[in-house]
Amino acid sequence: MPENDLFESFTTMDQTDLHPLPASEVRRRGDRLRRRNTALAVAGGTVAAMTAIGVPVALSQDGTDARPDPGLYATDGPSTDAVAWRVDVPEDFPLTDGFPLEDPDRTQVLPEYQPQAVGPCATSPAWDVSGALESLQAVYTDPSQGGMDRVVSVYEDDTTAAAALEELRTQAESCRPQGQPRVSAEVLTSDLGEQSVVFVNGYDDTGEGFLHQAVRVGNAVLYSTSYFQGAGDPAVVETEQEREQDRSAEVVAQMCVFAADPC
Amino acid sequence: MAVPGDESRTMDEVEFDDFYTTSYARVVGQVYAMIGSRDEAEECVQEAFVRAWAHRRSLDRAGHPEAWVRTTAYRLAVSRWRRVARGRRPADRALASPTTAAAPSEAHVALVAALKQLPEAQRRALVLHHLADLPVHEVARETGVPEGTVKARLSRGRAALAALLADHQTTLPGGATSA
Repeated sequence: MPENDLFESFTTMDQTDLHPLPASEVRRRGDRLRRRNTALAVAGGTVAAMTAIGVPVALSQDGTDARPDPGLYATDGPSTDAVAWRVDVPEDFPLTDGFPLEDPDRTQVLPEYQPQAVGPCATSPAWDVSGALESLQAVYTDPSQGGMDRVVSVYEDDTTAAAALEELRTQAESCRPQGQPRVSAEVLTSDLGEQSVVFVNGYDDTGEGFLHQAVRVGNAVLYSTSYFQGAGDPAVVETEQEREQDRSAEVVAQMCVFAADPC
Repeated sequence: MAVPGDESRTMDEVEFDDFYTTSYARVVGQVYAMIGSRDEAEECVQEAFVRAWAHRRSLDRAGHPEAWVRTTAYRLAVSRWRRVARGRRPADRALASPTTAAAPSEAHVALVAALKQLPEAQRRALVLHHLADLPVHEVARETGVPEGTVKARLSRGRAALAALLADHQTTLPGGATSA
């Protein structure tokens, strides 16, 4: 415990300068948020049930059902009331914000998704865009190391986008290291956007890895991958996660154009 | 507030109001120290309490409601900081207008400035340990890193803070005095 009061000025702030909402108003807003999340969970369950009838059951590598749990959609999601979802990527969307600027020629924007990394189990591309209405990708190629890429995918609605993200989470959580080199997927704690999945693909033999960060806002998902070294060290992984979060902060912020109540 | 040993119990309105009233200013001060902006800290803490009420069942199971609110507020702040820095923040829906705090002391201004220069992880560890009074193992739990990492961050953070505050005759955590 500390022996002095260096930080005392933070504890002795004049509380008359604070402006907390009345507790009743905080609860009212919390209740409203909860109702919206519950509505989303119900809608997600309905879609999942319909999907189960029309689509063959997806199985993970160990034979278990890999479809997402519809209850997992109930993150800080938006309302599913009648919403006119944006179905394209705005021309001025800052997809490359945060990419290195030293040599612009190393950055390419691609209208068609070209996977730059493998997915959680190294058996598929990093991101499956097949269910998206539109995807736009930006790739930065580092001259000496792997570089990074981002793709923003727009879906029919928020529930479809949420399902795509939960499918990714299920893959990452159920993946077992296999093949050569052995690739392991470690899911990290994340609280970005309205829903997010962050995991690291670590290559056991080399210490190399890719950080994968997928963030949903409304009916769109921003999927980023970045190459780094030292994937076996939790401190390095944490640093890389923070770096990617920082690098992509502006793009994530601008994902609000896809929200139910867009910016 | 959750009753120890009764993890299935959910916070009722009176308990939440009491938790909110007693914790609000404290958590604002802690998040302020972490991010360097009091207005932004208050805004994020406010939003975190709204989410706390919405998720009060899982909040109680977590057993550390104030830590939950603090972590949520901090993450909200980190997600938004760049937008704030660029002046693109949309009109705030929680507070009517920016607060107008009394002029802070010179030492406080220097401390805020010094903290801002520390790496985010060191700053967070220092604040949790020295301002929130959490022992190292609880800082490790809240930040999701090993205790050794927390100790290293505290050590490096204290050293960096000592250097940054060298001109302010400030006594530092751990007993060292800068001059």
